[in-house]
Amino acid sequence: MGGVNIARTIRLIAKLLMDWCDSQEKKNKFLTAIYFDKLAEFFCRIWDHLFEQGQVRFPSSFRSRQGFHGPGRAIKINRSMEQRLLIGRDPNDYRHHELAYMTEIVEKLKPSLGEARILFNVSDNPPPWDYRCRISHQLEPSLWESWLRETEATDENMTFLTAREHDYLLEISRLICLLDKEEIRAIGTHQSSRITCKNIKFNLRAWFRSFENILQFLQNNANLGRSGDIIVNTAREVLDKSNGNRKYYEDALEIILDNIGPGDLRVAISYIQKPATKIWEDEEVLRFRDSAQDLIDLSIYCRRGLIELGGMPKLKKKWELQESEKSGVRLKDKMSHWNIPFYNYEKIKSLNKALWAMNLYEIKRKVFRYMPIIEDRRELGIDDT
Amino acid sequence: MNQYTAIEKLLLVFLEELINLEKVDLIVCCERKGSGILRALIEELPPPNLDWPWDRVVSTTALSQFDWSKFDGKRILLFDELVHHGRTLERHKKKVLQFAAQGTEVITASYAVWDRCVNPPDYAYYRTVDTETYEQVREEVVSMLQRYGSLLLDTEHIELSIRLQCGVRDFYNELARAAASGNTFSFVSGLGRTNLTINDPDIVSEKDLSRYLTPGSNLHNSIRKCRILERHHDVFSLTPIIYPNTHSVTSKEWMENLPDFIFRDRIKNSEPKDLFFIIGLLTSIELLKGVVSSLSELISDNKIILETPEENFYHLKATFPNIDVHGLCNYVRDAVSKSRRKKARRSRGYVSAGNVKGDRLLSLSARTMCRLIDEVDDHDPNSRFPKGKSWYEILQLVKDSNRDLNPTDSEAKIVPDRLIDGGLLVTTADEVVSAKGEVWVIRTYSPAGEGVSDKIRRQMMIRGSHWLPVT
Repeated sequence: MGGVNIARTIRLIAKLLMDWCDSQEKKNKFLTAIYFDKLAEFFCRIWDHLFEQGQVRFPSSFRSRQGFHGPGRAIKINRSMEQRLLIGRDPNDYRHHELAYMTEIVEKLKPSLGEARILFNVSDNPPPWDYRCRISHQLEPSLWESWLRETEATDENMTFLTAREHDYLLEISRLICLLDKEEIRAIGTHQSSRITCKNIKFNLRAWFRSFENILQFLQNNANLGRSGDIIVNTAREVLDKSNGNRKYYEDALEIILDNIGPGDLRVAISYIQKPATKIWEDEEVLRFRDSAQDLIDLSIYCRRGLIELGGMPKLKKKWELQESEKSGVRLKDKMSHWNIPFYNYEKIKSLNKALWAMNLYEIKRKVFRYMPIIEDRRELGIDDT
Repeated sequence: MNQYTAIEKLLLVFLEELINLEKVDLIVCCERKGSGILRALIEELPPPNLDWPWDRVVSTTALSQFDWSKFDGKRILLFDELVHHGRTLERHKKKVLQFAAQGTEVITASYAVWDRCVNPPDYAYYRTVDTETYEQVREEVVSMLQRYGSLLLDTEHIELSIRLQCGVRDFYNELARAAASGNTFSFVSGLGRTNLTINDPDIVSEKDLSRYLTPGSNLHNSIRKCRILERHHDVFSLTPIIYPNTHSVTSKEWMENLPDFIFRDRIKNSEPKDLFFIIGLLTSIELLKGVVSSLSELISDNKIILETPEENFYHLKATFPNIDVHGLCNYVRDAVSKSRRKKARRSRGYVSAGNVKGDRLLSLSARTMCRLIDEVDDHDPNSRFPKGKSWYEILQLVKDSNRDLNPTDSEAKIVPDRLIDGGLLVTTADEVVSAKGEVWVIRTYSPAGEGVSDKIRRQMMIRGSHWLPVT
């Protein structure tokens, strides 16, 4: 039954992708990995709620798991040592993780032989583990229709979809087709302030880990890896989640609620997707938002400094260089208020690394002083402030 | 028990033959069930049982404390009753080789090995079993341990024996006097055994208890209970359980306060987890005092016979190689002897034991388990904190996943006992580094192994998160 349910869920997601791609005017009809994952997440969230209300027979097969870009549907995967050794060194390669998200799931479930249908095309270039990987559908409308006609099974549990489930699916698909991919991404990423804060903290923990690596590099010549890029990327994620995604989410939710009639589905979506004001005017989210720009400025400044020290390759894009100049200026202004010495990029080249590490640590403390605590185990009597 | 069941016989024969064949000098048991199985084979089976001394057994939780010098160049058997992928066994083997001198031979053995195991042991009774058989064997092992008194048949806790010469109801109600009202509940665990849990029993002397805490350690939201379990007809075991949140820094005063049965010179350089278990042991003796006092009237009326046989302490050698077991036994006997003469704090009839019905407990437990696996799978690898849940978090989980059933605090505290007895939940000691860079050790609770978790995940794929057959 587990396999049947996975197959059903995959079929439903293929149908959603088919409908959305067909509704788009663009010639190249695909979604890249993040947007595909979010489409699946949004759909599965609604479907699971309908299951809990007893309105559909089966849940989606995949559980929602935290990820760099927010929640996504995933399954736990055991990667053997051989597999891990074969994987490249890119820490962003999802195959390092214990979780396989939707893009990897459909890639791995791609049938090579036998009677199973190929439902998705997953690009080889960019490769499946790259966020720019393209996923398009291989579902044919007649194939979909033939599945719906599989009503001859004697066991009702084996029937693909009941009439009611089909109606729900078509309605969800119709609503998703009204959204552009940024709106899909936003509504897949967010649902409540609690989940938004949880995901921001997930990003910040990754940020801390990389920042500690950077300090270790400066103090002890430890391996820097891609820590410089990671802190910039995670800081951008924090800004998006705490503020940047709001407009897309608001638009998406408005479109959906304006175009859905009364009934179970409206009740479900209204329950699981909180209004934007409830999310982005939440006190904790606001505190993250208020510090997010400082965090980005610190991260970009830090990365540029590492480049000047020869720890990282130089920036190639003009806009990145300009951005680092602007961040430097903003940070300098902030630091004069905080009474912390500021070292410009030229100065960093000749500065004692350990001294700069201490300086960065002080800036970090200031940036984080108004943010909510990321991990707090005071309930254990451990003073963790 | 008068007769063995099949699994006991097979385990006994397997281990005996292996010990003779390989001329084993020392057995290392993989926790958490390895030492429980050994204890059942050595102590619980009627003769012929496994004839093996406890000073030649060490638990994988106590490797750093063990005196390896006596086993230089000897032959060591590393035993784990079930091997799934084999990663845990491999990890333990590496650790043993780290401590043992060069030239020491380590042989690995298991009762059953999963057919997709990547690191199989040297010896196995069932060399390759498919997933279904693996789960079946696991259930047989759990049932065996439940027959001998639950998975608490382990090597971390002291245990008293109580023979009843009164009704169980009177006995339970008397025990309820050891804690505030609404804290004591009976329930039925695996194989239909009656259990009683006293949550948050009184601490007779906070001062006496606190001398065993390292500076900064505390009892804030930590586990504190007493479990009473029927081992045989009208024979119960009483096990105090307490694990303070342990700050892994000792002081001169703390060392001086240690009782004589602890080898102080060997404790000095203990690892954080070793400290954690020692403190758990010492504070549990303090916890025991209040519970024994609650039974003083039944004891004086000869309605119960409270015993501290030395045999109940031998197995502790495996987990606490740095204690003199005989000395510990005398220390506990002394504490019990003084406590039984004191009156219970609460009057008879003022408090009584409640009961949590089987169906309700199963529902609470099932949903908690699904939710726990969900949360553990969603654990952030960048988190500084362990995957397992603290006692406080487990209780929140019980309540959050059972809002419609609205469990009381005390009912929530029994759910982990039920899950542990069913072999679904395991306890560990995890290190937590505070923001100040200090090492703490806390008690954590996790789903039991990949075999158990995978089965539940597969079911959740089909049935969602509110279904699980807990039996």
